[in-house]
Parts: sequence; structure tokens; C-alpha cells
Amino acid sequence: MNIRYKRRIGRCFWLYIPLFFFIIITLAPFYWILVTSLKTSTEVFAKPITYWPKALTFENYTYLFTKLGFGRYFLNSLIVSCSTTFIVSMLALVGGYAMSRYRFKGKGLIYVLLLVTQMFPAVVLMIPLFETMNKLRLINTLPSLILTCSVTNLPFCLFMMMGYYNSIPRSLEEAAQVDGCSLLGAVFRVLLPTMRPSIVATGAHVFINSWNVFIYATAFITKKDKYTIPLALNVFQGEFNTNYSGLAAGCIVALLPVLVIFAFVQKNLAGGATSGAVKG
Amino acid sequence: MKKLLAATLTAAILAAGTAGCSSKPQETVPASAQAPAAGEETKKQEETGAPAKASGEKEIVEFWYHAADEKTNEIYEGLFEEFNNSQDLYEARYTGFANKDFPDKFAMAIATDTMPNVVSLGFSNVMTYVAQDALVDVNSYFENWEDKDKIVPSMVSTLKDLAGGPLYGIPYNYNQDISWYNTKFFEENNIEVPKTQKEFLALCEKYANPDAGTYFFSLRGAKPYDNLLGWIFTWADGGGYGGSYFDENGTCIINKPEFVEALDAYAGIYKNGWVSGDCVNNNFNEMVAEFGSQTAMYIMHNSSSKSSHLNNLGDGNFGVSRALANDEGRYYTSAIQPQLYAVTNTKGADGDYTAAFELIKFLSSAEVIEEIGQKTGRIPVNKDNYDDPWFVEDKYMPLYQEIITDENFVQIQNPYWLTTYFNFINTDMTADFQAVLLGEMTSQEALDKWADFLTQEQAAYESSK
Repeated sequence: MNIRYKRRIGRCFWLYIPLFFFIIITLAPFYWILVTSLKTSTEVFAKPITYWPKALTFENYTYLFTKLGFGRYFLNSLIVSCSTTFIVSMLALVGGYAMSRYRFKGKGLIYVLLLVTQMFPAVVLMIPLFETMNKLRLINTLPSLILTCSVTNLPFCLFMMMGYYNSIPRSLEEAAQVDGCSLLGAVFRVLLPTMRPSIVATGAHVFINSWNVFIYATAFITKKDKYTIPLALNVFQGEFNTNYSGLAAGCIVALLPVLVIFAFVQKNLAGGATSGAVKG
Repeated sequence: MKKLLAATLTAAILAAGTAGCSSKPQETVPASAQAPAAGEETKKQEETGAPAKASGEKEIVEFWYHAADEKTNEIYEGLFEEFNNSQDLYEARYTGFANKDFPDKFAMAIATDTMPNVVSLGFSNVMTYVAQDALVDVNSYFENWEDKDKIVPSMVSTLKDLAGGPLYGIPYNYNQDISWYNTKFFEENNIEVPKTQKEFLALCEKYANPDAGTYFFSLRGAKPYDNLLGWIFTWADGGGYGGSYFDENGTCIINKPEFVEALDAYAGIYKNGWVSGDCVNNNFNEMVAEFGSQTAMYIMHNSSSKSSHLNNLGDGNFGVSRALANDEGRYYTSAIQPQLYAVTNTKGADGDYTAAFELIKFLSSAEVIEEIGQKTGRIPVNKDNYDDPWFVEDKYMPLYQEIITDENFVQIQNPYWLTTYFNFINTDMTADFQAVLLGEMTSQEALDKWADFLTQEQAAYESSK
């Protein structure tokens, strides 16, 4: 047996086979959700278990969009997530720059305060936030969610962005300024293109967090036409009745935007998420 | 390939978004209800002293349903539309909450003074909300209601007894603890539906087939209280105190030797491997899934899980039987625990709650109860329903009615008047019962702990009267 052959077997044994099992384990739940969404409610529980629907049906998807108004919920989630992503990315971009590049009085305190906000679980904040939103007359409106998601995501994103700025040498923007750029010009023309992967990673983080927001949504939203997807999915589980196939179809629809984001930004995500980890 | 996938998914999202822009969910909330805070109208009403009015000068009545799903939402939305179209004085607005979210949502509404006008509640939560001064005594409204005699008196009195006199809501239906079985399996194996606990244990042993992954029974390990208490009270024949937890001195009796023997027998079903190993964590969904997937052929639950079995097994493939009896033929269950519509305390005890009660009257009428009962399997408490063809011809309803009048049926008097009881059975009882199943605690230890706790709570309750 030559060395090349041995290496190939070793590679197969130590790399491909474990990888294969890892992929199976990771994808199996998604496959199962997909298959369940294409079954009738009786077939979901039929024995023997069917790994592919005996009678393929799209009635669960039709039910979602025609009877439950899932299109509206989808749009609501999209509005909340996109708005939050935009607001947080913008604020984190400028805030992160300030925190990274400037020295000012109370910077340490602000740093600690931002850190402290991450220590409160959502349930603790629910009642005061509800009171606030109620006084602002924002209950049962999407801005209540946009505002809450923005303020809860912002501190972490500021830290992320600060780390990215720290990893870029200051001399880069100074060089741009020597060449005649204003400070903003240096940031937008020189720093931002370098930081694209980091901005994308931050944006993806915020989008997914706000797409999945549930606790605040249950607190602020009671009217059906303002439901977001996680709230709508909750309705499938009644006190003594769960519509599993409908729930699975809803989960597939809820997964779509996340999949799209990953398809577009996965390269940026891997690099961006760690680019601020070590100061350059 | 990746780009193609991304493009396809993007197109799907855009299509869904566009559909969202053009389609409207089936919603009966009027346009005037656009984005009011939950309970906001109620609060406005309280501040101004005048009833809140919608655009058409109708008084607004907000209603929260505590156990909503897609099916009940559809039913209630239809009913509210009917109510709003049937009169010109009130505009009722329906909001449904998933059962597991409702307690938090309502607690927050109480804390922030944004309660709706009417809520639907389970029997077990009433005293918790009364303790928070969230509900109004509607006895005077009930007494003036021309149809009050149509509501089954035992259901009304059980509510009055719970609160020691006041009536904190109008009962509208109840669940009967029963057993569900797989008819096909019983026919194929020529099995008679077990009537007693001992017959049942023999079947559990005989038809447990771990190799094939099938069992006779699915045991509920999480939130096991109704099944568990029904079992031990029946086995112990109530310990000589009917369905009461307490003796004449207020001492809890559920740690007497016959109860310990009962719990040993019940836990033995798991310990002997007569049910699946997963049962220790089985909650309602898992238990019903085992029954629906024919992993188990027999479960103990109540009448309201009918719609689940219809979905999972299909009509005609399951049957219903009375709860298991002891050797004397008696069986103990928690049956007379109605669900109720309660008026919330939005205007103080002396406020005018006519509008809220008008909605309750509508929702408690025989026609409305028929609509709900027929589709959800819940048992009506309006006597007019008992002569309706749908009730008489229903496969299950007549049996439920027979049980209530059966002399061998004994009602377990769950002490829901103790405000800590609901939390106790949900958390402590679950943890201890699971410990018993896993052999980490003996039945005696668990029952001693429960009895001590309940004795203390009962003493505190008595002294605070």
C-alpha cells in the first residue's frame, strides 16, 4: 500500500465520513420539517413512518397564505427586520467609529453601561417596555418592535463594529486625509469598503435576531394584522391541538429569508465575524 | 447553483411579500380597531368616566380568549361578527392568545392596568386573578339574567364555592376526564375496553412490546396531575373522604398508605417498562403524538383532545370510555371544573359592567355554545344544548352527560381556592413524579411532601378567612 493511498484512506476516514455524518445530523431536522410540511395531518402520524409523503400535498402552504393571511405576517416580519437592520447598522457604524477612534470623558462608563444592557433577560424588561410603548401609543404597531429590536441589538453591534474599527490601522484614514479627504470622506471611501464583510456580518446578525423576535412581539402585538411570523407560528399550537403539518409549512416559510441571507453573505460572514477579534 | 438557489428564494420572498400587500388575513376586527393598545379603550373609559366609543358611537367591549388556535380563532371571529351585526349598542373586539402565552399576557395587562373587558379563563386560574383584584363579582348581573336557569346549577355553584360566595364568571363548558383508545388495535386483538385499574394494568403488561416500539399505554410524565390524581384517588377510593384532599381537621390525606400503594402501582407502569422510556418527559403533545402514531393504544386525557385524535388517526379509528374504576366500581376525576367568561375589574367594584355582561350572555347562549362545542369537543353547560340533535347524536357527548349523573362517579375537589395550588401541581408535582418514575424518590416521600405542603397552605387559607 503506497503512502498516497494510505493518506487518501486516512482522509476519508478522518474527514469525509465524520463530515458526512455531521451534515446528515445538521440537515435531518430541516429535511423532516420540509417533508412534514408536504404531508397531510393524518400522514404525519401514520405508521410505518414515511420518509417522503405518500400523497404529496401543498395544501398546508395554500392554507397559510389563503386562510391564515401569512403573506401579511411575512411582510410585517420583513418590515421589522429590514428597518431594524438599517437603523442598527447605521448607528453602529458611526457609534463604533466614535468609540474606537476618539478618547472622551466617560468613555469607560459608556462602555460599561453598554455591557450592562446585555445582562438583562427580555422578560425582565417586558413590563417597563410595555408601559413605555403604551404611553407612546405604539402598542399594536410595527414601530414598537422596530424600536425595541433596534435598542436591544445596538449595544452588541456597537461592540462588534468597534472591534472591526480597532483592527484597521488608523494610518489608513490619516493617509486618505493627507490626500485631501474629509474625515467623513475617509471613513466612507476608505474604511467602509475595507469593512464590508464586517458590516455584512453585523447586518446579518441584526436581521436574524429581529426576524426571530418573539417575546417582545407577544408583549406588544395583539392584533392579527400586525402579527410577525414567530407570533403567527405560535397559533398552530392550541391548548389540546397542534397542527404539525401547518406548523412545519410555516417554519419553512420562516426559514426562507435566513437561507437567502446565508446564500448571499456566507463568505462575508466567516471573515467578518472574526475580523475584529484580533487587533491588527 | 448557489446563485440560482438564492435567486429562486428571493423570488419566493418577493412573491410572498407581494401577496402580503394584497391579501388580508381573515380578520373581523373593525377598521376602527387599527392599533389601539390592548385595553387602551378600557383605560380611556376609566379615565373619562364615560364608556369608550367606536367610530359608530358603539361601546367597545374587548375580549381575550385564553386558549386560541387557528380553529378557535376562526370560530370566535365569526361569532363576534355575528354579535356586532346583531345589535347597535356594542362593538365587541376579539383577540385570541395561545394558551401558554395567555397567563403572561394577562398578568402584564393586570400590572399595567390595560386589561380587556372580558376574558375567557380556565377554572384553575380564577383564584390567582381574584387575589390580584382583576375580576369582578358578576352575581348581581347573573341573578338578573332571564336565562340564568339554563346554566347547569352545579357548574355555577362550583364556581361560587371556589371563591367562597362571589361569582367570578359565567361557566360555558367543561372537560370530562376519560380514556381514549385505538379501536382498530382493540378489534384486531379482540380486547375489551378495560373498566378497572387492574384490568388496565394487565393489558399494559401484556401488550408492551419494546422491541417493536409499541405499547398499550402512554403515560404522562410532565404536568401529570389530572391523570395521576384521578388514579390515586380511584385506587384509594378517596381514602374515605370522598374526593376531598383534607380530613375534618384540615390535614391533607393523600399520603395515607392506600395512596402510596396507588402511586407505586402507577409508577410501576413506567418502572416495569410497560410504556416507552420517553414517557417520563411526556407532556400533552408527546402523549397525544404517541397515541396518534400508534406507539400507544390507550391514553387518559379529557374530552377536548378529540380534535387532535381526529387529525392524527382519522374519524372512526378511536373510541372513548369512562375513566378506570376501582374494584368497587367507583371512579374519581376532576370533571366539574368549567371554563368561564369573566368580567375584568376595569372600573372598580361598583362600575357598570352591562356591556361586558351582554357579550357574556351572547357567548353563553345555546347557539353559540353549540358552535364551539361541536367543533372543539368541549362539553356545554347550557341545558338547552342537551336536547339539540347535534348533542344527542354526537358519538361522545351523551356518554359525558351519563358520567356526570353516574352514582359511581366522584368529583375530586382540587383545592384551586389555594392560590399556590396551580403552580404547585405544574412544577413541584411534575418534578417529584418524574423523580418517582426514575427511582430518585419513593412514592411515600413524594406524597408526604405534597401532603405537608397542602396541609400548610390550607391552614394558612383557613386562618386568613
